[in-house]
Amino acid sequence: MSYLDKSLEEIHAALKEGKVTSSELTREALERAHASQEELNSFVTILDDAKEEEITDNVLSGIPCAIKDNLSTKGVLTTASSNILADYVPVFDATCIEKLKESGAVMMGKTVMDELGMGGTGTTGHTGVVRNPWDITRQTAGSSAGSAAAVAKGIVPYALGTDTGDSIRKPAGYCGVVGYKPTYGLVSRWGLFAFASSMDHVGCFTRKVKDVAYVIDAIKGIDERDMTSIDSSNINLVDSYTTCVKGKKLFYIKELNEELKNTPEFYDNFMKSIEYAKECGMEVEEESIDENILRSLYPSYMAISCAEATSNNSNLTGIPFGNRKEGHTPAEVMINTRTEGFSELIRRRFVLGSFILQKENQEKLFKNAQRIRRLIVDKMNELFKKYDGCIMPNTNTIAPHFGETSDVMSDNYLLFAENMVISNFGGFPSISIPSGMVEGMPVAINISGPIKTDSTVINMAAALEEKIGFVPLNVKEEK
Amino acid sequence: MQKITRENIQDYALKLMFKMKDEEFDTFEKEFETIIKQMDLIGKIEGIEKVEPMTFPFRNKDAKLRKDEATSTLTTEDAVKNAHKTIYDEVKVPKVVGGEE
Amino acid sequence: MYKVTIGLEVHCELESNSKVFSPAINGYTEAPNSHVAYQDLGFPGILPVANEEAVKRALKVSMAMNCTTPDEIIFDRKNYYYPDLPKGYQITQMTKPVGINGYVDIDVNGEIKRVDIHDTHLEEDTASLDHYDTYSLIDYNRACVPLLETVTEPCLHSKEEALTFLETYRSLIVYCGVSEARSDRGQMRCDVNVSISDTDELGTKVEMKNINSFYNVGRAIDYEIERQTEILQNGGTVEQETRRFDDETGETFKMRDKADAVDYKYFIEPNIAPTDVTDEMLEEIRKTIPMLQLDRVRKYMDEYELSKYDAEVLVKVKENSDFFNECVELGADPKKACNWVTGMLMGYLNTNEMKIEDVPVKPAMIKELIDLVDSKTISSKQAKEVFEDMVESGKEPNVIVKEKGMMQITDDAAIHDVVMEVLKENDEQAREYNPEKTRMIDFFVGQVMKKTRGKANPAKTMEMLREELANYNK
Repeated sequence: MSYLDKSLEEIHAALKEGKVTSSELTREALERAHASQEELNSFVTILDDAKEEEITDNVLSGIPCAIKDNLSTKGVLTTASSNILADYVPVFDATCIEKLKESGAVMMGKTVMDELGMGGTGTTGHTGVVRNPWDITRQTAGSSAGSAAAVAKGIVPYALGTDTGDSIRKPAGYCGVVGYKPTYGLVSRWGLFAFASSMDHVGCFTRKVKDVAYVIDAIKGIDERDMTSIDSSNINLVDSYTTCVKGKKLFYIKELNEELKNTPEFYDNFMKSIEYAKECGMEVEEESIDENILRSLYPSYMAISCAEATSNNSNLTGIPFGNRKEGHTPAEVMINTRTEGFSELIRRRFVLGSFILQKENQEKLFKNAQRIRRLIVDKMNELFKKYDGCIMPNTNTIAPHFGETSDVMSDNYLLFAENMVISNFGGFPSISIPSGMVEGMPVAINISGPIKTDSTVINMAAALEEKIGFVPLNVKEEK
Repeated sequence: MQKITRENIQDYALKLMFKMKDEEFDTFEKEFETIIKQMDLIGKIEGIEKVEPMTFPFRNKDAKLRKDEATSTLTTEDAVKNAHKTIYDEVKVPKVVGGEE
Repeated sequence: MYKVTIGLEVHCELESNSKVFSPAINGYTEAPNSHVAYQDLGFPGILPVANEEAVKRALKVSMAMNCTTPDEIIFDRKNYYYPDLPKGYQITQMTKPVGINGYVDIDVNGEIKRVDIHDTHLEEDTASLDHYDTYSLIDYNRACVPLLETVTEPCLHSKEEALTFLETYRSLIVYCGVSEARSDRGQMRCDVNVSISDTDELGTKVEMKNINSFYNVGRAIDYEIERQTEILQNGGTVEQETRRFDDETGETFKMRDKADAVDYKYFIEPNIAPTDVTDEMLEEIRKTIPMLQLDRVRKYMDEYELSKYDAEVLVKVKENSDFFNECVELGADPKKACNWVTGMLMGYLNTNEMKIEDVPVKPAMIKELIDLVDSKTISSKQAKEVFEDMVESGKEPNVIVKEKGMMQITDDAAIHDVVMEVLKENDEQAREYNPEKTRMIDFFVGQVMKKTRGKANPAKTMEMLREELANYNK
């Protein structure tokens, strides 16, 4: 087995002992990226000139990683998978990129995503669809599609992603890897191309829960450039890492579970995970949440995220930067640039978001969505007084085939349309880990906890991970 | 509440500085009706109007205003590097006419 | 005759080291795009962080206008597309402005009028556009410069009231030390709403945007009153619309009507986490708010019994008024201090186009000068000579008097010696002395002055001569 397929600690140890070099790892990652690019299309940019880094005591030093293409990288093309930014080369690094560089990480590529982060299929990027490494006839989900695929395929041991509704955790689940979204503000958003600022998070994909601790420890920290960033000097995920979680209390949501019974394989998988949790010494109870509120999560998420997105992306006019299309007046320049620069889906979302923000609609659409946000967050915080976390199935399907689902909203969305957005609404730390296989495809569970309890959430997931014993794809393929 | 129709959709899009094609309208109309219908249901939740709308996920006690120090390191060269058209360090656009905002 | 109603929205750039939401320099420069930060160009991934000093300055003006301040600082986005707006939205305040429901008193020809302030809010300026024949160029230096917008209620009823308010507001800004508020540098700009009506109800409001000087505000109001009056007199109706004022012709032109009104789709800026406005913070700011122009005029007139003219001359420039105040605090007589400050000092400043802080004169020196005259150490005429030296050299009056040997001899014994000497030397004239003949005593005074080079106190000399001459022939 290549060192690239091992855990970060194991790779680090090998690098320290000189069993492998940063240069070799980087070259191998680049080779794997190229080898699977045609099949998976994980990357917008593969950095063939990526340089080895010195090995220090930092576990990330010298190890290659991939970065979602909506994180600003100085001197490296950053497109957010949109035509409108097809030639945009940022002049500054995102804070998380600065921190990765300080840690000695080797950035080997920028990954494909749903255009501007506004999609959940991995099919809307300007360079084409991302395919699921487990079955290339299936989607990865998104928006952090390429990062999920790259980690699942074993190209890199970890990748950065971003998560506004479930954009890390959903593709992580479909691709059989670990996906983590920390407490809102734990990782600075400086340099993250905004989708919905009040719900955007920087997080990561790994193959092991403990690797999450290393990655997040490296990129977290209060940032004077981000007023919403938090002081996390007392949160040290690696130092507090343990799989001993005896006595921790979890709850699952009764209404979701009722719905899950319609898909018995998923129900069984989830109940098995509950059993494992109990075997780890955790208490698990059922709690009820008003179904009206649960059914309102999806439309509320759409309302808030489209509203914020239409404003956030108003900077994309082709004037001071971006893929300008000429015209006779400044308005024509903007119209031509934006008409050609955005795909149909994006344009629909912006019109919707703008409609939601209209003076006469705000109260009924935008503010009511924000009210649902408060209701669910208050309810969760109330439950978190009694519990250390909430456990739920990632979703109730496996990765769909291409064409099976699109980003067109439909009436069919039920409780599992946007169940994980609860954590984006409340800024809760939230992790998805593989929980087994259904029809030959990975499925996952999700654990969320109160804000700033990232450590506990990770440890509970780590304990479950041990019990579940999921075999990642790259390891499976090695065998 | 204002209705979105095939007639006004283009005006709507133009205010956002892009054009929508006619064939895009069907999908949009369907989505639009979906979300309006679902938002209607939210409006019917008892006591919803009394809930304080939430913008921030939680109150960030660490939030601080910025000290008044000029620390920007952006150079003029980098500032306009990504602009397609520039003249003398300024970004060029077709002549702006009419009133300002 | 129609009743005119005017409302104003005044934008004023605030001064600070850095911009309101970015760490670029906030300051004038000729070099385009040199005072910029990532935020100012609206690059993807930027985040605004509000400048503490700009917030405090805005709160200071808010409190100086007697506004209610918010419990926390938050901002909103105003969304619209324009080539000078790089982010596609302007960060401003709508939900919780730095001030609401305030007032400013103005003096319109001796009548005090209270102008109600709807709100005052902190926002960012836009980039500036330079127009050429076939294209325009964008300079982002001005983007994100802190801008304070103050909105009055529609409570002004003449051009004069509007202009007086603007002058008073400008002085308030300058007195608070938050901006020089210079319209020639574009630091102050104004939107003006005008309506006319012959009933108690307000007429249709017409808004004129972005007028760059008070002079032009006056012209725009005149033009609009005339235009609207003509419409109503001809039986027409005034359209609710936004108009543009053309400063070359002095006319206003339709920009867009109500139907085209832009919906700015305001919502709370999610990137600026709320920060508390604490009582301590407000108290600290309150301490720095100086007494304002109108209050100073009242104080000078009521307490110091200065004329309104003098009082108004003194308060025109805050630093001059502060200087005067300090003189009085040091114990100088207000009227005498006023004479020195408004007379010699301001005369000198005007002639030399200088500011009070440019000359080395300190309030203590004025006090000293007044004391020297009061104690008859020097004459008023000499005092002027001392001032002329002092304003150039910065030397203290006492030092100058000594250097120039101006000190009057007030010591009785010393004067007496000279008097006796003069009498002895002019024995004949002394014997002929006749108190009826005043010219004779002038002769002796002249002699004493000659001997003392003018330093003997004239009054004392006279007194002593009379006495000695009366005794001389006994």
